[in-house]
Amino acid sequence: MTERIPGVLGEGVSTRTRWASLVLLGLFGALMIAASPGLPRVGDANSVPANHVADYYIEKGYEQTGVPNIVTAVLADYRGYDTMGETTVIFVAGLSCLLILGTQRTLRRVEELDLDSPFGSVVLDLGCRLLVPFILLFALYVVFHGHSSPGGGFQGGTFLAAAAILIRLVRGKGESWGFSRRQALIVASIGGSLYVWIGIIPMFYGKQFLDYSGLPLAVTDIPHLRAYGTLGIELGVALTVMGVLIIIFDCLLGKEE
Amino acid sequence: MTINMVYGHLEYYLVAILLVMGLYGMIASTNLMRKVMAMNIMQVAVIVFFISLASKQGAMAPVLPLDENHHVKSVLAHEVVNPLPHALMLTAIVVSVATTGLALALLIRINRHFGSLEESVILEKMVKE
Repeated sequence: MTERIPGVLGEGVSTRTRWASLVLLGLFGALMIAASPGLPRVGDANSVPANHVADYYIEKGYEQTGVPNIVTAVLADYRGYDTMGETTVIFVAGLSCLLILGTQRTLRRVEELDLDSPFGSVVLDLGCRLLVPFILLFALYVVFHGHSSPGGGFQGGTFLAAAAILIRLVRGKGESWGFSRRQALIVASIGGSLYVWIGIIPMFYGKQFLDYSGLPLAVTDIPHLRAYGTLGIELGVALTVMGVLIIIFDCLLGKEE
Repeated sequence: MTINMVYGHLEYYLVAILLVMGLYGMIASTNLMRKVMAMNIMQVAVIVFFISLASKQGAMAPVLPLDENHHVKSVLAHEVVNPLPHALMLTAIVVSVATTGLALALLIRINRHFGSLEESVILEKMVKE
């Protein structure tokens, strides 16, 4: 056992607890490994999880939803309600971060590193200027091409947030390129409400909640129409994820606005 | 248990080891930050488990290919991997990022209040208050 640095790595629990937990967890791991033959072989195309609803998604997915990427079709169309819940969870996590860290009036600075002023290096600045347009372009590609290639709202949203956070890290807080906490919250709210409204609008046209075939667009082809609904959903998710990640990053820096 | 059986289930062994590692980290470390990181390792174990259930031998990604005329080709179910666990884990990953951010925010708040993330120090100060 190497020597521990007090206050950084901690003392750890007592040796007795350590051994007791090792024995118990070893038994637990052995139990899981002993139970693993009951699971389907990895790569088995005839296993139980691969044979019920998944086959239906693969074979009917394109003709019903108009989305060649079946993961996107499942995520935003078949399980749109589920994804709305997940988006809400992300949004609430961002809001909680704001409430936990953003409301304190007098803050003691914890970090030694001043992350609010720009780093000021020419190399970093030029690198950032060069990278950000491409990151943004790739993010938009991932969001809007998520129908027919791997991608979608969640991934694109993280790319968008990465671009904003890169600007914030290199150029500091005063820079008008970046997002403030307030703007990020507005973006996240717009994304979430876009999702919900795309769900609600079909109800005015006599369809179910989140049934995109009821959207009032000038498209007669039902799968095509559903694909547009999916695109709107993905855009909403991307905005929410982007806003929330920026909020979390901004809160973790730990300075009152 | 034949050697063939073991080969087909190696990924489940990896999942079991990751899960046990995460649990051990949560029990054996007294630093709250390390506990959060250990919890993330457990989340990775669950994600790997779902993704291994989705795999099919020799199958391609669940994105339907185009034919010569740029029309989408339809495929048979065994030709592409199971899309459902992928869709579920896609959201799980982003949710885990957001919840980790929330956990870190709580830790910062705790650190500001007690001046430490060590369980023993925090307990001592809580008793004093």
